[in-house]
Amino acid sequence: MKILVLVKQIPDLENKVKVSIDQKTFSMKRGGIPSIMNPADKNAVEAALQIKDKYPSTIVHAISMGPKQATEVLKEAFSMGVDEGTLLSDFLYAGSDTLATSLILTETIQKIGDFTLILCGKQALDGDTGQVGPGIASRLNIPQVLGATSVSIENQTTCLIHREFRNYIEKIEYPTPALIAFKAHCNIPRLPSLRGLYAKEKWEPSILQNTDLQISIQNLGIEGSPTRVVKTFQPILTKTTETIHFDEGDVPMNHIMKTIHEVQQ
Amino acid sequence: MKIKVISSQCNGCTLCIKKCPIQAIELQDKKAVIQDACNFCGICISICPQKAIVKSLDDEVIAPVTNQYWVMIEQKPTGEIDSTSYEMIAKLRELNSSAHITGVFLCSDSSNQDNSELLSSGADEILVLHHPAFQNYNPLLYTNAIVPICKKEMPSIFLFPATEMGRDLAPRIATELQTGLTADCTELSMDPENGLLIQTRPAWDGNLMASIICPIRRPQMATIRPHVFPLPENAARECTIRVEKIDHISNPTEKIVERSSIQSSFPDLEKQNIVIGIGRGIGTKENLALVCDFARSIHAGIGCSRPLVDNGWLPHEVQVGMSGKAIAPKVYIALGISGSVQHLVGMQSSEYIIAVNKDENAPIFQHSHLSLVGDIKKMLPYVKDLIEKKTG
Repeated sequence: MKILVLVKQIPDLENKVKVSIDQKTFSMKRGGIPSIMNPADKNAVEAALQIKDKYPSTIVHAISMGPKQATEVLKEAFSMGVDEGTLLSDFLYAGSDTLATSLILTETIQKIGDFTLILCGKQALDGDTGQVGPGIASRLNIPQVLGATSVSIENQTTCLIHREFRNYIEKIEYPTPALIAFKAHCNIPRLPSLRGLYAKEKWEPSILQNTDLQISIQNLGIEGSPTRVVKTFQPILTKTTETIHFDEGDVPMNHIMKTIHEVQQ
Repeated sequence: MKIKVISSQCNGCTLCIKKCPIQAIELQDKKAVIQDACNFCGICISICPQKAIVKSLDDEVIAPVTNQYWVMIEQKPTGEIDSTSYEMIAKLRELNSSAHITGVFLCSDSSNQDNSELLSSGADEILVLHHPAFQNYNPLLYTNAIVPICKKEMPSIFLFPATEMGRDLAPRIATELQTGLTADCTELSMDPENGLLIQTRPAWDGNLMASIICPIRRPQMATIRPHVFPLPENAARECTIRVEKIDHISNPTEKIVERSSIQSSFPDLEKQNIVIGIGRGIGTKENLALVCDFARSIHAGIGCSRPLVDNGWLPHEVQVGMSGKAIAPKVYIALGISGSVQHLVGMQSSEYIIAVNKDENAPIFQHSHLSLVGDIKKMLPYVKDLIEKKTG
């Protein structure tokens, strides 16, 4: 059984580094910002490894798309226990929107082939679109399950998924193959093993370029992306405000309580 | 689209000529020249050591825009219509008063459906697609029902609510239609020159706003944040119902084993008049518990910014902001929230915003009606007194 996990490297936004934007391409300048694995993707890796815990012959294969430095997230996944990794890295892929990205990932998935499940995070913290997963499921014509909190393999053709979706907790049996997008915080990702940390130094993912995937460049990067960013800007502030400085806590409390009473009447 | 060689950068190494799988590059005057046979495989771009081969966008054309707009009308599992659908219709009407707006509504049985609410939604037409399998929302079946009609009628714009359902369904439909989709928009406008829809959303963790267009493909698709556009008091206009029976739908392949609504110890944030939003500035878990008690004692909802969920202090269901809920209560009280755009997009439509923060320059103060600058911890004894008075 082969489980594919999609992981994305994102800037570590908790680090409060000011993000700067290239005014020509409107893409983010990532230089100098520390990078991490997108948190929900780590939950997906954990979910995949839990399947492997139960069925040790399972092959967990992590896939990422990004610049060469995104090798790091695959190495991290490897140190957690993932067996194989593929990085899609080609500057033809730069500037791809979610439609083009889902195409590139789908072509890769088809090249790897013969998978039981595709696991991913529900959304990445940097782009926050959550569109690539459903895009891949659509291209592969397989079910998509968003908001999953756990998955177990029932038999050769079905899996059992717990999910939280539209205010309901659901337990659903899906036929495989399926794409499952995990909620952040749904499990506690394991730490890398010592052996994994040691081994990851020597381990390298396979790197695929477009010469390997051979996708027509009309469908890649900016050409392959129907959407265009035409402007980025800092939000404009419109509210008129009254400001009160306080030293004693009763001052703000009186203002707050006064407002609350007005509303409650 | 074309592939071009920048002659000044080409050093005539001929690597591209050797690697081109269809021999579509020739050397002329010691420079590579792309021939008409080129099939845009792009291998030459990847391998050129001089980065002298590029893609060119010269021949980009803009597809015509029409007045046909579609809006997905979402029915919640409880049967209610999600108000975002009406908010989107109102916004499109404001952008283009002569638009023909179609509300797309899926149901399992149209015969005993009460359509009065849909008829006063502000749309010109409700397109009802019905099939017994639409009882429960399913992204595959909904996509299979909507895409063929959408392809045939090709609206210029197709909007979805940025709810869990909309964010599940819209990308699947956009991929089938091979068009662009902008997630989670908080503002829409029209380019006066070409009539394209300008879709604005918070980007990169909400540190910036980005305006996005879809110039060539149709429909122009976006998911729209709930509560960012006001709901008109009376949007009703003449509206017709068009029923399409769908028969090419197979049965769902999944089997629901168990299903129960999420029981929460927190009141439903979207239904509160008053919400107290709590951020990292609260300091300790004890302080947080105190403020939560206070909120309950005054029957206010409890919301929070992302760091508190990441810390595991509060559940994700009460997170307000881009990756959480969008709310618009009468009063929003932000305690110790600095106000990243990621949080602001979830609460900036509140009628009256009070913010308490010790940092005078916190961005939240630029979005609040009443700014209280000082240390929250000094308020807490008074909060405690109030709770004791109420309960005791």
